[in-house]
Amino acid sequence: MNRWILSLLLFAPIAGATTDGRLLSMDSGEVIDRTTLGLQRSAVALPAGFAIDTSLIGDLALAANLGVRWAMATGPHHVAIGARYTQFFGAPVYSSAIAMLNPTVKQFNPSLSGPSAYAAYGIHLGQLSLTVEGRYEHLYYDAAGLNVGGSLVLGGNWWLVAEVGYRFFGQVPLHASLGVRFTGEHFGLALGATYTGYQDPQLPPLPVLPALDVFWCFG
Amino acid sequence: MKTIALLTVLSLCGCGGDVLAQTDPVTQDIPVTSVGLDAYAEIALDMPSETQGTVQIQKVAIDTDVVNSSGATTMKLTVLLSAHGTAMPGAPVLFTAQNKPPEFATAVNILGPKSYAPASHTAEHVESTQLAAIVQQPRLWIIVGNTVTQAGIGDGLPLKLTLSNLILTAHVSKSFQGLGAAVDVSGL
Repeated sequence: MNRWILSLLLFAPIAGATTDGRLLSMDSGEVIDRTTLGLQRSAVALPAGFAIDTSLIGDLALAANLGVRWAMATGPHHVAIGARYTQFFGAPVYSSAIAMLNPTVKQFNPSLSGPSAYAAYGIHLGQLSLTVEGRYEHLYYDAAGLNVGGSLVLGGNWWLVAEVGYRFFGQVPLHASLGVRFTGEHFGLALGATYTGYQDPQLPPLPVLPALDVFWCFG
Repeated sequence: MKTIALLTVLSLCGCGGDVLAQTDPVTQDIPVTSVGLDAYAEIALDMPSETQGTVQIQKVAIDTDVVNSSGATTMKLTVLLSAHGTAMPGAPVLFTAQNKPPEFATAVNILGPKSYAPASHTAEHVESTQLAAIVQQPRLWIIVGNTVTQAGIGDGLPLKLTLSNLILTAHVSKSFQGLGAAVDVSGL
């Protein structure tokens, strides 16, 4: 415990860097071999590279979700594939919230239920790690994307992360995220921003959303 | 503050939703000042912002109570829809068949002419595909007309037909598909 705190303070490199299989806003393709509690992904590690996972952020937003993931690493290469099912339970809550904030809206029935799947391949090249992810979602609408993420060691266990991708079918085709990641022996965090480019007559323009991930690995 | 809260709720969604939005009720009198001369009122209605932008219009309807408060005069109501107009919300424009504005010629009939008996109170519900097509512009104009061909005994001018609590209800499907980034950062 002391060693962990010390390393966090001094940013000393530690073997067996921890992961929750996420970069900033995409999958990292890494193997999850320890039970993880994280915002973007909480997972129970199973044998042979399998894991059952859920997005805690989604759960907190009343979109209960459960997924299965399999990942494998050989040398510098690693691959992961996964699928998830999301069931949205928050319709009454969101409806009340929106109706309270905007009395013109008498009823709002949001929906975010459906399956999603992804596959990622990554490679460690010393200071740089690259990951390519393909994903597909059917949550109220169809969405598919191809993303490329790069992580560059900044110093110690800090990484600079940049992602760029393309969304097929989407209104906003550009996926772009930028931020930093810290991966310690038991704890990790990612902080950055992701481009949304979202325009809606009801809302002010929203150019970016924060990308946040905090996770602990046990075992 | 309200906008930030709305934004937070919607970005947590990153999803899609069915929205039911309504305009504030409008009550409008249509006074006939000369029997045989049709009287009109042009009312401007601002569309709820929920109907603007990328939405799929599922259903649009106008609900109102038509009140003929006269003792013995039958009145006929006509309702037209126009994409252009001069009236402002809260400031209707009254005119007669003799001085119709230019938008009258292109306005689309969505109700009537329909007769209402004296001392009657009738609820009307109008749904129309033209209404659904026009609702995506920020403001639309409803022209309501009152035709009186014969004044009833004991009824003096002006003879008023009242549209009470006119409400436009839009049922739209809104996909917040543009918030795909919100789904990406959530880990879903």
